[in-house]
Amino acid sequence: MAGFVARRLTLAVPVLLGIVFVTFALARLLPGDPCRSTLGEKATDEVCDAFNERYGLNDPIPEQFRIYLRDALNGNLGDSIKFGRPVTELMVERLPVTVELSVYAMLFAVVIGIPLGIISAYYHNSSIDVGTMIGANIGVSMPVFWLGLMLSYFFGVMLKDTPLWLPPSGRLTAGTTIQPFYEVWGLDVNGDALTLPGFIANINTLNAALVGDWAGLRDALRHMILPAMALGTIPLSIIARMTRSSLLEVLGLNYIRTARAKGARELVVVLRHGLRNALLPVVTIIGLQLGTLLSGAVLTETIFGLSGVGRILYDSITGRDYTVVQAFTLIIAVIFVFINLIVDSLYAYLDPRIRLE
Amino acid sequence: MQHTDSASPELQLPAADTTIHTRPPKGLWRETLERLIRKPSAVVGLIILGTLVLIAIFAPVIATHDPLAVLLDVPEEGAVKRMDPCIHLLGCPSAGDELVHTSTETNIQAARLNSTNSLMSAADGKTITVWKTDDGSVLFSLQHESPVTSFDWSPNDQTILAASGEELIVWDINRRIISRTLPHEGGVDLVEWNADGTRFLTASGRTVRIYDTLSWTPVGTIELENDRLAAAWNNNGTVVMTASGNRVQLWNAFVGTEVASLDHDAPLTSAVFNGSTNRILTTSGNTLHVWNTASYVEEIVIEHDRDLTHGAWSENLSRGVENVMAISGNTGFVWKSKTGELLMTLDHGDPIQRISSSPLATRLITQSDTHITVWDANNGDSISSIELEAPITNVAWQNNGGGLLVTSGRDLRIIKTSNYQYIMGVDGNVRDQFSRVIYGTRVSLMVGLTTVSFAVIIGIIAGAVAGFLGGWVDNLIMRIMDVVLAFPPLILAIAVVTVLGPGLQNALLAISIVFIPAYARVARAGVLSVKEEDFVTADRALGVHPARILFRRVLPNALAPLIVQATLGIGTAILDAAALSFLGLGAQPPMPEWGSMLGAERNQIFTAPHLVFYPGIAIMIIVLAFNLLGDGLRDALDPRLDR
Repeated sequence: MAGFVARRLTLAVPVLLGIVFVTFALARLLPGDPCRSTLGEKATDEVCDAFNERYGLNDPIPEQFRIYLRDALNGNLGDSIKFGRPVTELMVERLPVTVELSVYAMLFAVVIGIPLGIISAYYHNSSIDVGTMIGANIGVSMPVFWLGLMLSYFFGVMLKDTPLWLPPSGRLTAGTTIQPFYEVWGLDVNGDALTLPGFIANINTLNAALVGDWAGLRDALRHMILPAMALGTIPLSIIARMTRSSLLEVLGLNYIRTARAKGARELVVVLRHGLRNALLPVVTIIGLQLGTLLSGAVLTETIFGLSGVGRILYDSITGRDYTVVQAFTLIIAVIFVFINLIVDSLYAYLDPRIRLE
Repeated sequence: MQHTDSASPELQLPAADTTIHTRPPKGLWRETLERLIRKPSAVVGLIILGTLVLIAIFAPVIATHDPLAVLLDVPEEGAVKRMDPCIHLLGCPSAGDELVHTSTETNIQAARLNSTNSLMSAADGKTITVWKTDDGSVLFSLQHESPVTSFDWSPNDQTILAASGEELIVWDINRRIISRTLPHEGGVDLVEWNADGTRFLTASGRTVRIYDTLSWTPVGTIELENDRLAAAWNNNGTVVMTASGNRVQLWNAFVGTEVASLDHDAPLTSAVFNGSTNRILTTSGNTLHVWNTASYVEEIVIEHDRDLTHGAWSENLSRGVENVMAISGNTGFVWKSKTGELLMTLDHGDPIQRISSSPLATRLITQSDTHITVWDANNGDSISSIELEAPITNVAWQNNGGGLLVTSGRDLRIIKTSNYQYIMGVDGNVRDQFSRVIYGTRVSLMVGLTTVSFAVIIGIIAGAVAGFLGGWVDNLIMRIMDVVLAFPPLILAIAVVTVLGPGLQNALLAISIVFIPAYARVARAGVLSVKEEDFVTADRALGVHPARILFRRVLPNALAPLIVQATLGIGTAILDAAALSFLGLGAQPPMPEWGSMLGAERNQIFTAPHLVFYPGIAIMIIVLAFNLLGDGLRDALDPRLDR
């Protein structure tokens, strides 16, 4: 097992290097002048020279890459040109939003998708099965941004003045704040935002739970429902389909017949004997979908007015904020690579045959 | 003869049977197709796709309008911004149909629409009632002590000013309470706000008073020499126009002193400002006059052989329409106001009591005692004829010209004045949404097919070369693919489009690039699995060129999963292209692309959800079709999964 992980890790190294190179290249290739897009069209040449000097944009490209690589390995991703703050600080601010959104979306997908898949596999070819699969097909074909808009219209406007109303944008109701848990607990973080506490405090629901602010938790959760539904629908459909086909395959195997023959209860047969083995490919799919979620997050965050990674990435690409583009694409790609690595390892752990390949 | 391909001619070998039996049998494609047709989901996908292709081909026939054209030139005034769709495809109301019909307890004296046209109100007896214009439901009613003779909405719709007995009553509409009561000498015939709600005028008999809404006192009083014919505000509320006897007078609205006097030879029968209040139309005797209110000179005089009454304007400056209208007996006349040329003669049948033009001058109405005729203002054709039981007391146009507020006796109706239907509504740039959605089919099909073809071709070459050659080439190519795969697809596509510059072509290229690794992997896997087959070994032994082996032997056998992947990929590609366009990086306006249509109207989701709904549904349908077909193909090509 350790050998397997080690092998995958070594394979990931060239990929990570490639990612660093690509993010660097992408940021340099962005058309437009970062100086004039930040300081305005009328910035003089002297001002721009000083600006480029300040952000190291006057150095030769290989030199820039060398510095970038060195700094990146030291955990220093540079200062945002637009915000004038360290990118890492922005990351602590924005990453939790996306993580929170993705986790709830995935939760939504798994909690609904797997039972749906089980039911439709068990009642194979029944009307429930057909209905679920039609629904899943439609779910996969749905544009995330459209679904988000329609959900916010349905829950935010049509159900207004009913108990089912949900806020169509934002993370918290305007005017409410949840006190960071480290303040409540009296932890000393020295005002340093680049810390795990800062990161956790920005995950609103987790923070609210830690602080015990139940009204805040409820508010944060209510704001999370619509984006999570919009983002989670495609994974939900995929997971439901995968669970169904995988469980169908397993339920046709001999050992299931044996289990039934020895008189095990149907629920035990399906859930303990069948589902356990059927979940293997589902785990892989869940892992792979996490990457897709990051794509969808750009759109979901745009629609629901959440200032997460997707949003800042889109803003900084259109705003020519090189360092932010570099840093965030880099971090996303790295996260993506490691998620895949974890999924592969998990899969190898669950299915010993893979390790031997 | 298949085997001759592989055998070098010099060797003169007999037929190499080994190459034949492992190659796909001739009937594979037909078998696949048969299996495909047995899958109901695949058939549904095929049917939807076929329909979409037909829609794309015949888009000019199906679409009711040019997808890029602004609908201003259409003689259709419902075409205001973001008009609601007519979703009852079979039962859309047409001209002359009642949209809303409500009744009061006694006869209606006055009726008004509020400035946004969302509310309509009428005074009957001592009550003013306010209804919603959409469904005719009563919103509230205001009770007075004496009969209401006249009332008016303030321009911001926050207050209603009502004249009841010898009092002026100001209602706060938000709280539904009387915010103040002003005494007034004598009964009031008319109250009217100016355009910005800072002043209003009241008219009782020969006296016109101008009130200020800061002090709520009369700031000027105008005594007319003869009976009052008209009293009206100009646009910026600086001048009040009155007409009485032979004379139109303009008054300073701050102090009530006379500014100018426009004299006529015969008694006046009407006097009205035009829309921008820089001209006044008057009728007196058999002449129609147009006065300039800046220089107080007569611009044109139109003579007719009989007496003219009820002059009115019909103008839309953006289209250069500036017409004047007047009535003579049973007939309405429309002239060009600049030249005096007679444009139309509208024969109503009964003695006309009113002629009026819709706000954008695309419809005209003539009204007699119980009868209204709607005319096309461009050619004078009669559009519809409305007959009511009781005498008509009020007629008012809705802002968008789509309906008329008509009161007669105790009934209050909104009557549709046009036959035009926009099935999916009209978008923010006044274009027909239905036509744009129809034309969008072309763009989306094109997007799906080109991106995937490009990605498949590059992917196949890369994957096949990697798989076939192996070694460091394989390693290099696949590591590059791994790097591309390490980015979430949409984020990489956004970055690439930004580098290349926004635009549909660049978006397509970006999406293709993002999708290459998927096909490369599938192609490589296929090649790897086929590479060691006997027929390939045989070719190698025979000394066939590797490229030839790759493209003639290996690839065709590895094609099945690629076809499946490609079909499924088209759906994803369409989704991603729409997402890029939604973000403003793909198709640029005014191209009718579903994603950019959604993006353009997304801020209107709360007011005009239909504009977001239809393009999204369209995207969903086309993606669904490709997905169903792809699933069907997968099952058909790989019978193991078929259950």
